Amino acid sequence: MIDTTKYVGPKWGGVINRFMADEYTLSDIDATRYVGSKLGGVINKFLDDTPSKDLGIKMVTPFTLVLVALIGLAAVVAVYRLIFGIGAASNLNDFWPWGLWIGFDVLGGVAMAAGAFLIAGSVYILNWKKYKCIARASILNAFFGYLLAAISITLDVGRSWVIWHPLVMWQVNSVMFIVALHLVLYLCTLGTESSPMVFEKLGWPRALKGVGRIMVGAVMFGVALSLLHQSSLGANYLIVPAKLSPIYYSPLLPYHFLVSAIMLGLAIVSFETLLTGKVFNHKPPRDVVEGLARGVMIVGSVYLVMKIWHLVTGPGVGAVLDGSFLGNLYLIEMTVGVILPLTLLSFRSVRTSLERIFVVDILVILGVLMNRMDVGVFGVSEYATRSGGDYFPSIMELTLTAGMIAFAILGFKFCAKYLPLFPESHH
Amino acid sequence: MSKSDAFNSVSRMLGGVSRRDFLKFCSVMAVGMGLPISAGARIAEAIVNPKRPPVIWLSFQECTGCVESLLRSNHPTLEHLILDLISLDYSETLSAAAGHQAEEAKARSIQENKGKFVLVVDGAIPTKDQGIYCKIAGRTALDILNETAPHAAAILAMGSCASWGGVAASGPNPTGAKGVSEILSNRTVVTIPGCPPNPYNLLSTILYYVTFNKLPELDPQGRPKFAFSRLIHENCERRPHFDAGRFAEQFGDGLHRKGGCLYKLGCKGPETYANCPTVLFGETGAGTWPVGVGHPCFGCAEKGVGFTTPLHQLAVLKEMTPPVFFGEAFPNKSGISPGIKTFAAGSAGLVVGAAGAAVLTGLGTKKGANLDQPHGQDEKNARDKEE
Repeated sequence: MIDTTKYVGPKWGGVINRFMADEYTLSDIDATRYVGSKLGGVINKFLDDTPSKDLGIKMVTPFTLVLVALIGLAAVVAVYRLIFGIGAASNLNDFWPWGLWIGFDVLGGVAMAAGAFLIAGSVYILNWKKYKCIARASILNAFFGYLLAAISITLDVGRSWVIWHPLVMWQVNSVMFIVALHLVLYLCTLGTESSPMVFEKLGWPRALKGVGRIMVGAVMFGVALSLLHQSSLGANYLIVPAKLSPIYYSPLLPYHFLVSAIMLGLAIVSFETLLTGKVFNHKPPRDVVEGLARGVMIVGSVYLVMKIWHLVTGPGVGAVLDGSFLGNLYLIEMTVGVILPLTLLSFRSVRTSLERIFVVDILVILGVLMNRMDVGVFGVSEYATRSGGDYFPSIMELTLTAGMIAFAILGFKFCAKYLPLFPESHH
Repeated sequence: MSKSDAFNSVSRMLGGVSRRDFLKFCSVMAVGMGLPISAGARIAEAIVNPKRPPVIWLSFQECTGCVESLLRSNHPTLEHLILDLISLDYSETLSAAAGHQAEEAKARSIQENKGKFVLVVDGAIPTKDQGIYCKIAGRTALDILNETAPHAAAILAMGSCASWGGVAASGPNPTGAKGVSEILSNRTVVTIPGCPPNPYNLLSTILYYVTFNKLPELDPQGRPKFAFSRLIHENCERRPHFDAGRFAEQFGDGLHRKGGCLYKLGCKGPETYANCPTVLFGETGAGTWPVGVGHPCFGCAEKGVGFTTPLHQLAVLKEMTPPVFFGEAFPNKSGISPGIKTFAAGSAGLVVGAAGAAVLTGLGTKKGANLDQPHGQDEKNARDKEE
């Protein structure tokens, strides 16, 4: 460990050293000294990590420092983009107006957030209590997914500072309007759904009770919004039948997006449950993960049928088997994301092994993310090439995306440490 | 006076035009100026009013192109409308009278209609050496203009020469030619530039004045906004070819014959404000205007462009900058561009690699590794916790 007393003097160096050595956590800081007794008390209460001590989350690790560095770089890129414009920061052009930020951050980020409405709907509407233990984590995950999508869209539109225009200047005939409105409303809904754990931590029973009263309504609203939003992202591509490859273009594209997002949502919730079980001192509930795997299998089968139906009624099965570049991408995406997971899940030994379900989850996540990149970015490549266009994301686009992912991971970790994210492990 | 009486009073002058055609003309005029269709009725009323102001037309340093363009309008009854309806009292080119007789007619009309007539001027006014380079009836153009203008209700400069000097004022400008507004700097002068200008722009302005008793909205150079507020480039029928990068490179080359954009041949459409592409010329159908028939616009209606910049010089693009390299519209490159191919292949590689790694490590582990506790134990725990 570096001895920082050499650089910043014994007083501050000592503090930093202790912090780096993880002897000293945020909860040791008495905020009342800095911001007054009232606000300071709230902050102290929020930063008290004793309830989550048993999760054993260390904030100062090499991995966390890398994440912080990535976030810092991404912030620099974001400022650069806001000052010098999207043309200076990205490699986007007239032929590729939508690139990595839309394909991965927005389409992928939103699809990865689909787990929240499914779990919230199962717990609060269908009253499937088994899943309650993962509800908070999945909603928080979705909150970060949507937050990143919102930031990415803000940076991706040409004039970021008028991003609020659609909210007051309604263009009800535009799918983009639906997308914008849903993003904002659902982000608020996810905030509402996540708020109980903040209130619980701060010990505000009245606020907790108030949110509890509107919870079912908020969840129903969130389910409706999500169904619309997941599909409207696909509906965006309905206006480009001539540009998007026939392998991907279908009048049913919104439904493809919706069903694949549900499959991904279940997989990601399961993945996250198992992952937190691996990295935190927290035991993943077996029946929940197995239930989610069954869900992935059912929805994945529906998705597979839809995709095959699309091929048969549309471009023909030969279109993906002719060795063309897009055909190969399609095969990779379907093999990794649908066929392989379904094949694996058809074995009972896989369905009952958490370790193997974890593998299946990874496959589904990779496959559906690949699908979003295929539809959003690669699917129009033949058209754009014919028109003389080319695109490879700039280093700044890649940096920003990496920073976004880092932000989500760090944010989730932070919340896991300071919020009652896994209620069952505290009682 | 009932409506039909009013029409009958002018129908003889119209030379057999039907009432329907007359009203249609008035409506077309209204629409051409961007006025509501109801303004057509008011225009019709103004035209049949026997007290409508007369027009006095002065021609100075000019080629008669402006007057010719007015005569060449092939709308069936247009010349009647111009000659009879706007009550053209004096025109050096069109007067049946000649010499002293014509000059007397002019003097009488000015006397009778002091402060009421519309003065139209075409041609530039030479100012060098007291303006001796253009004389009519022994008097200089400068004198005639200075003497007539104070009595006019409205002054219209027809054509580029009258507007700012036009071809007569282009370098080295040996006669010191100037436009009307430069000489009558204290008066509002409506300028209708063009070489020749579209006759409808003049007629519309006069009819607007006759109908509403005021001038149409003008831009800082005195041009009526209804005709000169848009760049030719904005309404050009070849504009899609500009956007798509299909340019004629030489006269007669493949894209020139196919109707490609003339920008690279020096078309000044991107810097010239005029309504040529929408109003067209000569009423002989679609495409009858310079760019339409394959000749680049040379910017005749724009001061500092027409008669000033070389014909072959590329226009300054006012509102949009073209890319340094124009993407061809349909180069029809087959396959996939290298950048995106690399990106896609990289992404796919990442996905396959990660998937492979996950499958190999995950499926390789024996059942009963750290996470795989015997079935049931967790289940029980989870249920207990919720209830």
